[in-house]
Amino acid sequence: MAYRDTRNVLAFGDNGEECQRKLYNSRVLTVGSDLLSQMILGGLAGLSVGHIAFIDNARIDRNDRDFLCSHGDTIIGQKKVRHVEDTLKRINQVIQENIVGIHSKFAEAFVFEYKPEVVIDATNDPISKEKALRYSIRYCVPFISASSDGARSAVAVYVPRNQAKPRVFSENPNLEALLMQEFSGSKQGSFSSGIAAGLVCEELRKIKFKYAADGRDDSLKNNFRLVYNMYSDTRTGMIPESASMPVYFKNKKALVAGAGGIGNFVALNLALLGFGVIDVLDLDTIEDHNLNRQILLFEREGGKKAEVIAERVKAIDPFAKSNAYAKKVGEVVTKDRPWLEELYRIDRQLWKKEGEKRDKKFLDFEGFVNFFYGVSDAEKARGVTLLQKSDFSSSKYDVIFGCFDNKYARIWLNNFAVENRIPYVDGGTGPREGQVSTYIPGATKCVSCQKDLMNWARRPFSCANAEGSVVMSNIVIGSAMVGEALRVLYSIGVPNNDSFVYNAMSNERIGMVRGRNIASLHC
Amino acid sequence: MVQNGLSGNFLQNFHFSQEPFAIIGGRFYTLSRSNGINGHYSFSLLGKAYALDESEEVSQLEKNFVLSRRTDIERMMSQYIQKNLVDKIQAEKSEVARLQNYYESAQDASIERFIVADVFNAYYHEDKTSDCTERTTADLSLKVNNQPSIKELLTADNSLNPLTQGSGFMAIAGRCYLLEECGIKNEREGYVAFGKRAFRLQQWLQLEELCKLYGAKLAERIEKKAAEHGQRFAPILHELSRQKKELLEQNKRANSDTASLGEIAFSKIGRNEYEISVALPPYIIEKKGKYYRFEAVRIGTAITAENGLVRIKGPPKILSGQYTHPFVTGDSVCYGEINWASDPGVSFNRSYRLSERKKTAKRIAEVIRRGKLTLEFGYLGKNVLAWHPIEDCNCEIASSRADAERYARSQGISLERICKNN
Repeated sequence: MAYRDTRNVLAFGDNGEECQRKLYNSRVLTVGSDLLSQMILGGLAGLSVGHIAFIDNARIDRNDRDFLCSHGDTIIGQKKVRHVEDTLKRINQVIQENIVGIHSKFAEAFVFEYKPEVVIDATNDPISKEKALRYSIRYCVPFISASSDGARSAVAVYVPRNQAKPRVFSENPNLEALLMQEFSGSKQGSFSSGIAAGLVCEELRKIKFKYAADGRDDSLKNNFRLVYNMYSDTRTGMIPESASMPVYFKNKKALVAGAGGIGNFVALNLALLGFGVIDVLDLDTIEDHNLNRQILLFEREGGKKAEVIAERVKAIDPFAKSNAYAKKVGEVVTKDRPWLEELYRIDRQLWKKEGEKRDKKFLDFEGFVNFFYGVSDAEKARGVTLLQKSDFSSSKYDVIFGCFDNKYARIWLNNFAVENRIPYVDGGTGPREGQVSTYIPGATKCVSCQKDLMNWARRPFSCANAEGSVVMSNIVIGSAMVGEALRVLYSIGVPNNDSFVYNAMSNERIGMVRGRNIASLHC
Repeated sequence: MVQNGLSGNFLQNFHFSQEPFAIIGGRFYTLSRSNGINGHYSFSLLGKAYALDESEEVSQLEKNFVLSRRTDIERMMSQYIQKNLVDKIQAEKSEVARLQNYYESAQDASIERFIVADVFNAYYHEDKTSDCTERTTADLSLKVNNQPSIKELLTADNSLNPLTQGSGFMAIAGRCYLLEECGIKNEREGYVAFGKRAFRLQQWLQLEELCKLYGAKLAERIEKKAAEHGQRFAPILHELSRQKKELLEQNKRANSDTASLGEIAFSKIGRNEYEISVALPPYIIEKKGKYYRFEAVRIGTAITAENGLVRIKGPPKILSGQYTHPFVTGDSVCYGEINWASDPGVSFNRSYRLSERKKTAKRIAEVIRRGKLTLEFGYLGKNVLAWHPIEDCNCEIASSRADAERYARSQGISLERICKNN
């Protein structure tokens, strides 16, 4: 088992190793090389799907922003599949010998050569999908269809029950839904593709293995289609259509706080949209086991996450400005004292409840504050510095993305956003779920109030207690955060305290839940 | 042939899927089922045009095929090398070992083998104790990258090109048609438009047949690469073959009553009695600024071998009859003041053990060598009067070095054989 996949194994549960082995032995073919396909392929490489083939005859276009064709010497007019192949091989060197790109439109003969166990068509081309579906029926291979436009995306699955002749297709009108005619001719978007890509990877996982045998983790039904729609209040359904999707983002400034699993995809989507400023804040260095989901960090183990993300953002969009802040969050001042005392009181109760013995320094208030909002001697020795609120005073961000994995940094960032009246989009994930909460100054409660961050159970801090994390929930939530941010920036829909949620074990997969509205010290 | 294990290439897949395609300029084009042209290339028939969608180059598809069948192809290449080279090398090695064993097993018991192996060796390798049939130091262990790599196949070449000889073709419904450039676009018979150029379809092969030909060509290419890879074994094979030849000759010499190796030879002249001799080609002696030519001569000495003991019967004599030389009278050679017992340490009255092969062989070889040197170089710097003055030999040929060299060249005598006597 490759070390890079240890977080997958943890996330997959008790039979994690066996599940990961199933993925190593999988053969998947993807049709298309546009954004949606690239996002899916990035996810498959992150998951360490053992054999990945993809087919498309597109060439690099000067007007395209690409995720996988941006790292290396890209020349306009070159075959996209070659660049995608090269980058995928860099993202996952464990499976690199089994990654093959075929420059062609869908042709059964080329596809058959790779004997895929699952075929994914990620184009917006109904003819291509029809060919892929015919292949699926002819060879009894599960078929996942996905399409996207600027703000919407859809995913459908067809699992043939037994081998049948292609003519069955014309006799089964339900299969028409898999062709996704609505997306025909549309240009694929970034975050909408990201959400679909995460859902597709999850469906693939469900085809290969399930978390529960009681039906909760089943694949989508053959005649059911998952739809994400940024314009919809429920974020699902094809209506309303995204006719007025904004296209110019160069004047927008964003801070991506946290460059882990979620931060990777937030930064990626912002770069693909063309945001003018994408600053990245993270103290961490890149480790092997990050690479299963943090797919922008390939080949840079040991480097600072924030710096590498900033570099990769500029590779995707050379016109974007991106500053890296490899600092610890964050400075506290006298006026922070009330919420800090409250947080200290709640945490002490939580620790006592868990029956854990803590280090003495946690037992007094000053020690608590210094541990979470200061720099220890050991950290000083490693060159760690504390982020000052003044570091951001001149930035005037239009939106802040909170992608941290601990509540202390989250609370700090939430308070920073509240103090400066900046929209704040917060994302959190588990191996099978995730959620996005949004703070709109003057319109909603802050995220701390919506999520009751103060009372969140403490997250483990040591690697021995590390939690599993997979690419699917991160790509869905990272992409959804960008979608939620656009709703705020362009005043789409009615502001409320609802949160976007993703649950791989529910039938709906994605949707909105009502946020809490607790009274707190923050807003 | 290796193609048996290489089924399922992209051409065969098209044969099974019945999808129409074209290959033009080394690139695949798939035919869109939808009516219409969306690129520069199309196929038109009976008023309908079908787009030819650009696909991979054939060379890339072949590369992908090779990569996907990596294990099979490498095994095939290994098998080819094993069958055609490694097995051959192993057989040669066994044969060399057998000949060597045969030679060594009989060595102790045979005086002929003693002369051929030890005396001849001591004569040619004056200061060495090693065997003149010493095996090469070359690495014969076959560990020199026995495993061929498919990387050698991942080039821009492809195996389809030689079959089409560079022409494009199109496959529809299991039939292949060569594309022949034409000026007229014949709607009824169909044509391929490739940019501004038009090609008519000329019936060629069944696709199935082409698949077989392609498979064979591909196999041929793999075998060729395997053979190229196998070239690194050629020095081993060559060396083994040299050793085998040498051992065969050595065994042949050792099993006969007479044998020679270069200028040294032996012959059995009686029961347990052998004559060991060297043949001296013509040579020129320089003495006091004058040059004298002497004819070829054979000198040698006899040895007896009995009960594991060898005795050298005397110093070398002339064996080739009447010979004119200042040091020669009859068949005897005058050795001046040589003290054989002290230098080179040979006593003609005692016997030497055959079991001390190297030492005994060295003594015999040294005796022969002294005879040769005495004829060619005199008494090796010692100023002793010869039996006959050299001037009386009537064989002066020059009175200068230049003339002597010119003479030597004209007579085919090596310049190294102009021996200076003092």
